[in-house]
Amino acid sequence: MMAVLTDKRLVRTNANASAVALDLIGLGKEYDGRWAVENLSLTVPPGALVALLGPSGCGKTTTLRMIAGLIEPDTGDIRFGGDSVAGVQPERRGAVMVFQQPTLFSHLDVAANVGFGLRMRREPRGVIAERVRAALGQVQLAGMERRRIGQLSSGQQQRVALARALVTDPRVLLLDEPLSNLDPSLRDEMRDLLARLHAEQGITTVLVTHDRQEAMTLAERIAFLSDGRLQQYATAPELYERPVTVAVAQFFGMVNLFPASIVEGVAETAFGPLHLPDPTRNLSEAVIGIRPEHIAIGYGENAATGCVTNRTYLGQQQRVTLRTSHGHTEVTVLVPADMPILINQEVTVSLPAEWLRVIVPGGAATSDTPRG
Amino acid sequence: MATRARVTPDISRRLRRSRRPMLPSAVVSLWVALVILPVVPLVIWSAAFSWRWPDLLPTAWSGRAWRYVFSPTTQVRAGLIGSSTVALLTMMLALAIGTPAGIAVGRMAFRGKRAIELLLLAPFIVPGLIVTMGIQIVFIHLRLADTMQGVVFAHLMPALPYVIISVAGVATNVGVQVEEQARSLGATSWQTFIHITLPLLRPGLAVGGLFAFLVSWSQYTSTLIIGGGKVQTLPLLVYAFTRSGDNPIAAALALLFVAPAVVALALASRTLRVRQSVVGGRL
Repeated sequence: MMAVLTDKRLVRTNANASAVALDLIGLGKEYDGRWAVENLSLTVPPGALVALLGPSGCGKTTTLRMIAGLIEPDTGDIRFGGDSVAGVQPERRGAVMVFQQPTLFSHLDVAANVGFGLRMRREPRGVIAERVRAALGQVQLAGMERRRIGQLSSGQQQRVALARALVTDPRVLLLDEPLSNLDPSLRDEMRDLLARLHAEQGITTVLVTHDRQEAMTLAERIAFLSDGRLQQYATAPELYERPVTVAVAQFFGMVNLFPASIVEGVAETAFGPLHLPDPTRNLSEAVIGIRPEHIAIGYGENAATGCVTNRTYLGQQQRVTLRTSHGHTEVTVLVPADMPILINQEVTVSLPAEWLRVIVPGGAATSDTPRG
Repeated sequence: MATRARVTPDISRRLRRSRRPMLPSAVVSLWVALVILPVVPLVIWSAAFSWRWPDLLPTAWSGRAWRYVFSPTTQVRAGLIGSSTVALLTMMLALAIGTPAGIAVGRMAFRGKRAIELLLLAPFIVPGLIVTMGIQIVFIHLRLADTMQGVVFAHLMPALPYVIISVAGVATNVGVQVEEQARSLGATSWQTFIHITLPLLRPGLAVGGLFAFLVSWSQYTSTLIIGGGKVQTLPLLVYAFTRSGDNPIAAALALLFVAPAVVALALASRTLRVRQSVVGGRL
């Protein structure tokens, strides 16, 4: 999985030799005494697609607008290909934004919309017409040049917006939730189109989204933001398997989180003593996490008995919540849907040491840079 | 069963169709009564030689009034030029000042915005005569009294709010994001204003500009007082002939006075309707 991902990135990077790296260095923005974005540092390698993921209000759109130059950061610096763009007007940055709403110019037709950026640069008419035609072909809207914006469906509008951005050859492409206004069926189509265009053109891209799935399927690396802070900047499997903060763990579905103190490889929790796999340093305050699908029913390592309080049918699986007899801690388990389990039944669960994750307080990545 | 299902919507559709023109036709009749009917006596008067009570129509006809109106030697031409110049200048100035102001009022949140919105309505509330008396004193000091510039500035006061209010209304809907999009695509702030903001504000500019023109076109008191008789406009002429009792010429002038307004309104309503249907098609 990891190898494939790395390979893909190499191919993508090679697709565009002129792609620039994007560096955010200690970026911060304060609104009314509250940091919307605080000390955010990360590097997007040339030609990579990176997602800024997080719940609404986490500062991801603010970050995107700072990269675009639509708002000025209060602290830190933004660099395109190593050069600071501080104080550079948005139109001179070459960072093109695609908004959640297509934001088409309703007084212009499709061709004039797509050619807008080139026209502002005073490119020759013939060049503009040719490139507009090519761009419309790329987004499967060939021959739609003379359509009015009002005649397009929402999916077509979003594709026009995308073509309008791509035709300008942006140094950095900024996508602000480009799929969240579309119907589910259109969303898949648009996502595939985005992935294909990115693979073909290799433009350094930042995608803002609150959708885990969207980030995981499109991005090579994901920067998870919460409360204006970068929590973790890693690949999807790393975020999924090895969250470094409670916020990441919760967002990626690691719902079993037990506050713990660790002494000599044993975590003291309300669930009971948990034996950890690796030698861990002693910690007075830590959180032990485990994904519900990794908890086994029956006796085994780190076992405890509890009473089933809730079960939810999920199709292939069922989610069972139980409350342990000692410590009265809630544990959520995913088990096959056909396993006969009743409310109030006594069930023993075991937490395999290999799946236990130790989350250390203050583990948030403040200055993470991609490895490899 | 099947036939009933087919008949029922048919009837309801016919009912709806028959009910729909009812309201517009009532409105049209009222409009005719209020706007067209008062013009009829004017048309008759303008071609009358003598028209005394209780005759239904004039006993004698004459082309004297219209000959006077179109004669190059009379004051009518001066009045027409004066009215047009003042109204066009007022409209242009009102658009130039009112557009940025309207964008600010429509979009920005700033301290005292409510107060400014209320102040915009002041010209509708405070009688024009009172304002004119006040500014006349100031204009005399500024040497603007008895000049066309002075008259234009005086007309600007009642005209400006129309531009600001109509532009503000459109600007609120246009939003800032479309401008950010243009900037991000490589347009400078000036290019964005020319290529994006202004075209999108066009309905507001058309309505505001039209009203500014018409407000200036129909000013009487302020032209009289600030212009001091040096600036001749059609309303001054109409009033002079009405006072002197020359009904045929007053009527012909009044018709001439109304004509541009009717033409402008018809043009504006047509362009606005086209725009509206485009907007409607998008939704």
